[in-house]
Amino acid sequence: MKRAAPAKRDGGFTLIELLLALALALGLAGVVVQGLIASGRSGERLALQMRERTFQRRTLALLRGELAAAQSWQAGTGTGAACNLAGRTPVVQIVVQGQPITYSIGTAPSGIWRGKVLMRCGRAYGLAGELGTGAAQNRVVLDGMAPAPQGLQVVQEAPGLVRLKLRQEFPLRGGGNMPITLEMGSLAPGS
Amino acid sequence: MAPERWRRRHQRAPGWTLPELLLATGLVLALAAWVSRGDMEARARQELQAASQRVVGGLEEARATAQREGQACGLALGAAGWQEPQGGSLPACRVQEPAFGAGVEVSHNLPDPVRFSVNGLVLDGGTVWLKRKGTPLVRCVVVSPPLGITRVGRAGAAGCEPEQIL
Repeated sequence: MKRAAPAKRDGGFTLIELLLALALALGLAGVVVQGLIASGRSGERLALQMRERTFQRRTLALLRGELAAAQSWQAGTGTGAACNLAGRTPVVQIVVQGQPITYSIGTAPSGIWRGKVLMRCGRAYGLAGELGTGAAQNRVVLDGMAPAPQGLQVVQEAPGLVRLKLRQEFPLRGGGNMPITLEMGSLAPGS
Repeated sequence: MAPERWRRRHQRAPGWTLPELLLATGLVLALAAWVSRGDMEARARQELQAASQRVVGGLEEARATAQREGQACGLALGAAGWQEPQGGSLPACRVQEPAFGAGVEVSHNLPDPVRFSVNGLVLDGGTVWLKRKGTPLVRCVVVSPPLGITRVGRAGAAGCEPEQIL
């Protein structure tokens, strides 16, 4: 008996093979793109962390300078503040040269600031780095603050020594927050 | 008619017909125009981004220079970028920031000069607006004294608004 010759296929892919290859290629491309996006976001977060840490260091350096020059200070009070705090929570009040400098945390004064802001109400500085003599100004020092009292804590550690703790929180796309914190010791008057 | 003769008579010459060629050319041109417009917008956005970074970079550099040299100084923001102050007796801060790209329009409410104290504080603040032909995007940079905290955003319904969350 003569055996039947096997069916002869034309060269090239079948439709099923093509669709399968296309689906695999798309799946692979999707994974690569997601990886790239995740890597980009991770880079953005790192850049934000570095930038905010710089701002945090500056903020604490300003506070340390004012505490070191202070006649007195008190945590959690805004009594006698030289500006309208507009409902923000007073965190610390420092008296320098007889004038109060009040730090408060609360709603931002304009839309560019993210989340809650830390504001400084006090006399502006002059060119020589000295406190000026003009009227007090209420200025944003830092944004993205954790709510008071976690945002800025001034804690007495020992006579003449306080611990300053700053905490910012930035919302992430997938939910949750990215906290950025910094702590420093400072000289301060008082018992 | 015999099938062989019919096939020979109706066999097409290799190559495209005129309508096919016109359609293909039209599609290629439309695609090229679309890509070119997107590219121009992307370039305009990039220039705006670079300009906003130059505003921030100039401030940071001036602040650092004043602190490092222990010398108060000032800068003015002009149409082309940071420049020597036009008024006052304050020496100009030495900054290396290049000028804004061509076509970038700047408007702001910063004083002339913006002053930097010997200990690196930024004594003046305000908002800078940057726009460029080729994109509807308007960038803004907010500067807050005394630490010179800057935030880059985009113009929105509420004024200068922050970028998207991470």
